[in-house]
Amino acid sequence: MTTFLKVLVLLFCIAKGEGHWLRSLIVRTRRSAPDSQCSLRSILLQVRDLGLGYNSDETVLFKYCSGTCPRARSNHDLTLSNLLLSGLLPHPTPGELWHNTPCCRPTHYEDIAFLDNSHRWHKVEKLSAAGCSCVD
Amino acid sequence: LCNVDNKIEEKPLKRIGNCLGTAWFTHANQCLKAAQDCGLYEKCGALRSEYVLACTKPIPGTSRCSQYKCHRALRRFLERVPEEYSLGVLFCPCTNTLCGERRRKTIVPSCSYQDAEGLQPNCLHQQSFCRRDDLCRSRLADFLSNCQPSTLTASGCLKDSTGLCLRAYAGLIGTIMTPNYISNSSADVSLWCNCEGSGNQWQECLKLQRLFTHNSCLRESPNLQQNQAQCERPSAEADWGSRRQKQT
Repeated sequence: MTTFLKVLVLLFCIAKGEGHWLRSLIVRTRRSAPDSQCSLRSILLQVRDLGLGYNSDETVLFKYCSGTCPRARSNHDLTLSNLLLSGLLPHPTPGELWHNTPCCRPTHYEDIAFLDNSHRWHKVEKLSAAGCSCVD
Repeated sequence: LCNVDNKIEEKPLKRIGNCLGTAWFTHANQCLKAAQDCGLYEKCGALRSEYVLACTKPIPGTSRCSQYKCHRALRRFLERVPEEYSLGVLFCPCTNTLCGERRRKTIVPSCSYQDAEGLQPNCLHQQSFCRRDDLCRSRLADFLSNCQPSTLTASGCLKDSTGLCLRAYAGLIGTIMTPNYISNSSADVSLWCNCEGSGNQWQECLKLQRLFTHNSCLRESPNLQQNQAQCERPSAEADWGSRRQKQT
């Protein structure tokens, strides 16, 4: 009976956030991160769909980086956001976008090669992302 | 600063690849389908791109490729990629010239097979160069042993196993004695050499040539059949495996 009560109290604490260390333990044992975080994604495409003008029926696995980056705010980012909110800095026009958080970008790239429909080999350097990271 | 540890789990998408092939094309070009299947399996696609890059990149200051680097990358491809993909790309069956031309071009013959000036060495000279190199010597020995033709067996091979012969033939690709398809309208293969200047070793030279051009064991080797497994509906986006996140 007492063990049951203890477990109940423990669970209550976790729910409340008092058992912070316990919750973090439980979170760590869960396997994958949520899908919206900055990570390497891939999409299967035909070479012609890449929009680069090649006439080839081959398919490639195009990898790219997308997802949200945690808002690790540096003093610069914090100030930039504040100034934007307060109106001291004008809002960026659609052409000049600037970021006040780290963004999800490739760290390095991969080349790909394929045979086109005229039986010529082509190579496209740095086509796919090979790894992602949140860059400042 | 946040960093994402990128452990990309490789998932062979062969089944999905076959389905895509079925959905989009009518298998008129088996070699194209084999190339697509390779492209779906990340390791195959990446190593294939690597050898094509090695075989098309000119040596700085010249317009020629580096045959040495090309051969090395080809060997890497054949050694590291699972046979179902690598041999599938090399030995795809063809019924038309489009398919045949793709098959012929697979190993980037302008670099790995032919000489830059279009000159062919004497076959026996080529063989002796091969014998001086440890790797080529062992690959040649495998080929001679496993692809020994015989009129007495059903398979046409002395060793009665065409699979061994196919693998032994593939082992020669990327060596000094690299063979290749010679036409887009047949499955005939040959070494890049001739028997000119053989003198009184003419017969021996012809015998070596014929081990490629008129070999019943090699000719009877089965073309790899792709598994027509059940088709699932492929997803447009495939998220790659598990990622471990480190927090700094």
